[in-house]
Amino acid sequence: MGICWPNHAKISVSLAFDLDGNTIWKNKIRDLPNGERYLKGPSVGSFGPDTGARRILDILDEFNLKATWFIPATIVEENVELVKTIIAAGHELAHHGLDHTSDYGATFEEQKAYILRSQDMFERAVGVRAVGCRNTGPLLPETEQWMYTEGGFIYSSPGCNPEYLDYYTVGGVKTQAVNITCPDELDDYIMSVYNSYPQVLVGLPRVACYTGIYQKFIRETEGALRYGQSISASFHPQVCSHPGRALLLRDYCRYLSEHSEIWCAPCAEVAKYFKSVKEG
Amino acid sequence: MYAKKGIWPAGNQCAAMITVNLDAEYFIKIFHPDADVDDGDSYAMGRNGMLFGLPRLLDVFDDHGIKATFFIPADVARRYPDQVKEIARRGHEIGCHGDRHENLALLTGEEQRKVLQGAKETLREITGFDPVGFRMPEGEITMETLQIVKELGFRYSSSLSNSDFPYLHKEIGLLELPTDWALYDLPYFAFVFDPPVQHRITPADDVLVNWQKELEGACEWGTLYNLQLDPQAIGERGRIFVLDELFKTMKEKGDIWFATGTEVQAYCAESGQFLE
Repeated sequence: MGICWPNHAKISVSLAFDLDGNTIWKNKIRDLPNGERYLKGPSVGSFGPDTGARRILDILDEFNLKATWFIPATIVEENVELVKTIIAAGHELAHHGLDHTSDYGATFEEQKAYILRSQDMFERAVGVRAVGCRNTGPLLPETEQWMYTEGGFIYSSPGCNPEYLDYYTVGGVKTQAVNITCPDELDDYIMSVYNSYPQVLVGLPRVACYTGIYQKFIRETEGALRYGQSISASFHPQVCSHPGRALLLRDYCRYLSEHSEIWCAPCAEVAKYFKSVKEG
Repeated sequence: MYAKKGIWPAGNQCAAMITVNLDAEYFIKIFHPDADVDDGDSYAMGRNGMLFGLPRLLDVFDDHGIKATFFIPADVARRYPDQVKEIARRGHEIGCHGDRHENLALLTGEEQRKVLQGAKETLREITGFDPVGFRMPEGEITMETLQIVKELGFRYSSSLSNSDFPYLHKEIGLLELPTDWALYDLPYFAFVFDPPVQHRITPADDVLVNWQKELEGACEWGTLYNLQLDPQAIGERGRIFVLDELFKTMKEKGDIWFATGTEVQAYCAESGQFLE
């Protein structure tokens, strides 16, 4: 569905950072012997909030770009000053689960309570509620209908969403929210995260060559331009803000900021603009 | 500016700590923790690394005037005492990497203390020096491990990954010199048929690309460039050029401080940098 974006851009690209911190690592080690006391795996994840996030903020500032930060609610609570800094710099905070576990509950009531609990944690910690969702587990159709109609969420952007930019549909029924696709080719975690125990990724595939990683970013963006499709990245500060990979991020930011056919904006701005065009 | 930039001696842009995890046949425990290190392909690979890769590595270090930090499982020192003595004789630092590459988090506190105390004594007997650096055998550790490390007299750990600057474990007063998997050669190169570690081997030129890029970034943000090597991986004849090229770049840049773990620890202690 073609949209003329601000400045006559052909597509929107949303820089998005999944600031998972140590949540995914804690989830992986919880059931291992003595796992609740492990340091190494969680330290890999903590690189994001401890060290990398501020490096990313500098890079975004350099190109005057605003981004969406998908952050589990427990990480927001544990990093209040950092998240306040992210918001004060003009970036968007969006839903990414409570602690990156996949269990949102078995019923609509449970899932609604889970989402609202996450929203309340955001509000208490940093004074905002999310309008966007990159859920970390499956949602029931009735939960999504509620979220994207009366629950205050104006877009959906998990990794497995379909490729189109249009109103998000649940079971064939249109919601009031916008679907923003999040392709694997813009997910740095699956390209270069590594840890031996527990194995991350499972089977220990090699850390990818950085040249290839950057080419994926560009090729995916070129593909989006070719088909007029807006996209969101799924960059992970625990991976993309290590010094060498932060330079790749800087190059990609420069590419986006200099490309006249690309409007680079947070997911919420993309959704609001889409809705304003469609709804007047 | 939101991020900090590290400050290093004499205005250098970053610190390069070149380290070797001298796992020999114990390297297979990174990929298969229950593997028999004395059996099959992994034993042959580990031994080849010690017999052929290590001499190449030591020569490249000498060629470029680099003093490295070798983290050695004590049982590797028992198995290869002549090689370990030669490493010490050539002026490299020797640190502790467990005894038999244990997953320390699976041991009781008493067991960990016994393992690390014994490993320390073995390294002293063979090299004549008390090791002051500790790198966890790949696996897991707990805060109890680091507490024991501190109590045994080690001055730093080089194990965790939540930063790329040195930092202090404030609760126990132990310095951490963090590591990054992307700066370790085994995740790119290790290949074994049995037990299987069977992904396609990364082209060495691609590894050089990553390590050069991380070096560029380290200079940008003033981080600790903590390179981890294993002779059986980078010491292979068709890969050793990566180090020549990398060290050449570093020397040409001219503003990189090469330091052993002990030298980084001493700088932090004397200057107060990174201890806040």
